[in-house]
Amino acid sequence: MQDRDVLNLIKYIDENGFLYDGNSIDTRITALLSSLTRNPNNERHWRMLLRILKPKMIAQDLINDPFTPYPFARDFSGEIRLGFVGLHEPYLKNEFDTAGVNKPTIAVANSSSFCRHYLDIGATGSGKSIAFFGLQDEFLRIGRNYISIGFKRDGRHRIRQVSNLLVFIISQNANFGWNITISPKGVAQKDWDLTWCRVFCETQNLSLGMESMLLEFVEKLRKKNDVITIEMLYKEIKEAGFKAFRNVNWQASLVNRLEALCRFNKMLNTSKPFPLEKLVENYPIEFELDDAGEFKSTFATLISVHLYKYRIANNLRGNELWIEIFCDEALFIGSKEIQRSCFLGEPMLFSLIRLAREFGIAFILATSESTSLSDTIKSNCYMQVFMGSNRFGEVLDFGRNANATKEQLEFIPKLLQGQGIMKMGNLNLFPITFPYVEIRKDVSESEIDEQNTRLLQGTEFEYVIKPELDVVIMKVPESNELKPDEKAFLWDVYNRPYLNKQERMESISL
Amino acid sequence: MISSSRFYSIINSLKAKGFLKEHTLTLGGRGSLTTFLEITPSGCEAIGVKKKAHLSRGGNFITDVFVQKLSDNLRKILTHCKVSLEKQVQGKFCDIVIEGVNQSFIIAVEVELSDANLKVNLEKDAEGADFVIEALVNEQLAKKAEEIVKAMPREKQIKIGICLLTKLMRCQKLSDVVDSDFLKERGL
Repeated sequence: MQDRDVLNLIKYIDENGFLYDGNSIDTRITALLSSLTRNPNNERHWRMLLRILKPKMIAQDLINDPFTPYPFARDFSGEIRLGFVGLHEPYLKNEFDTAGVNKPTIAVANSSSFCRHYLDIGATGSGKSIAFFGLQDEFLRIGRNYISIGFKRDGRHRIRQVSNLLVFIISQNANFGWNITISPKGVAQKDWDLTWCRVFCETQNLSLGMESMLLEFVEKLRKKNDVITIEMLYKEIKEAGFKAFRNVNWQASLVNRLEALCRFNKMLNTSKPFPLEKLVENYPIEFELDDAGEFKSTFATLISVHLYKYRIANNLRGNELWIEIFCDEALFIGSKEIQRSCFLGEPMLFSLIRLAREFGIAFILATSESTSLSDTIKSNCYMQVFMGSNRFGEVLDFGRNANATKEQLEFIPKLLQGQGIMKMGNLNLFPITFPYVEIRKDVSESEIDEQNTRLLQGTEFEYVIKPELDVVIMKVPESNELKPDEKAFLWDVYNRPYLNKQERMESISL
Repeated sequence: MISSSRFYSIINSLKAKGFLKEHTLTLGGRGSLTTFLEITPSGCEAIGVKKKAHLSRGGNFITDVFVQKLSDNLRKILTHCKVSLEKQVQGKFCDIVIEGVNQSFIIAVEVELSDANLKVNLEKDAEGADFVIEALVNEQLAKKAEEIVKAMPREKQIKIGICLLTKLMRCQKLSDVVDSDFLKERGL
């Protein structure tokens, strides 16, 4: 092959059975060989031929591969099919079509494995998202809905394939209402206030003092209002007078963050709870956070914590009612930086990842930069798959996580799009190829609105997609009419204009 | 005395309605900042009165506070003199005028918060009064005033004393803060 001897190549192909793809002869290979026999200098045809043969040749090399065979051969009717064991031609067009001469083994996993979480590491373009789409299809096949937290606006295009997919856009022009201060059903409001305040402060790098101040104002507002909003909180804190320098600093930081959060008022100013836990029983849900700015981490964490708190409060435990949360960019929720910014030992989401299994919450995470991902997450992921990286640091990191041998690591640079090396619990590593799910990226906001309306109109959850009908009525600004004590105060200021505040407070009697 | 929370809630409410304004000033001495409340024209309207004229011509609330605080101190330490606000001396208005018994001497006190009319005021006051005290709000302004005075003829220079407003508001004797033979001779 090196000397491009076409006859030797034909012999090699014939011996290794490369002409057979499934149950038919690969006509692409025969056509290219026939062309090259006539004109061996056709560079373009050589490149095309190698592109087809390379994965097949890698698969052939695996006969003496450093991996042990995948030990399962089982009925996968109730289990999730992850991919084909072995390194096949990337993106086999015949999704899980196992008919043919070289029937590939299919790697499967059950709810118990998923509840111990799944981590996909791979460079940009290595096929992580497509692998996720394949997994989502599998969940739907066995009758499970999923929640996907997307940061790249590509999950929305799945409405072409998933007819009951709800797409919620978290942005200034959000297409749904979610007041993050309202507790999930069954969760005590006070408990939820503590939770969301903590998540907000952790993910915005605000200190414990600011968290206490925020909680104090939340409690103050709760005494006057049934439902509070971020806008009310922002105004209350902004208008409060503080004397101590430290308090003024905390106030300034809080006001700054809350003011930025008020950009999402269209979504936040609703009076009814967001029934995420109920919606996910009937629909798969895609959250789009690409336009959520610096609050990506806050909202992504709150989505997960919302479910977790609901399940704890309602004692929903175990794998039977398991729910999967896909997060395509795990660094937004689980980076080492977020872990470091926490002031009380461990951020909420990290505790969640350690404890969520008990409550049937499965995290399915992907990242291109595993070295920046927290070790807590890596060591709590039962299933890990490495889909290749341009950086050897990431390869070594995977090697350390998965106890890979030198030979196994040397195999990683050969991985093509859609191929990976998988670690599942205590089993030995095995190569895997993910099925290809084709998506056409042409879904617009109006189509999403149509889909959401079609799914929710007329149901008890209709209010979720019509936040404008459910706006918290802010207190009308007080009229300029003077109360008796205010009038007396004004008279005092008029008659004694040169008293300072302290002197006035000590001398005035109303 | 009312409770702090009630006091501040009234202030916040009146501020929100646009009836009050807050001004924070440095008056010197211990502590750093002092806050004063000014009733706005709409506040006056709400209680049915006309807005009071400022103490100094063309002044504002902040000048008023300084003039008032300064005149209070001068009245306290110069018990035998007559202290008047915004009075004419030989046809020219001064912020504060101190007159000795039987008009034995006239001292004009000018409060300056900016250098806008500094030179004009200095020359104008030096003509009419026996002595002029220029009370300046900060040291930068005091240096400027000193330079202007240095450029004046000698007979005018000895009639002008320059000092910081914050010190003058708290002094026990004028000659403690203004270096002048005129004041020392009269035991002021």
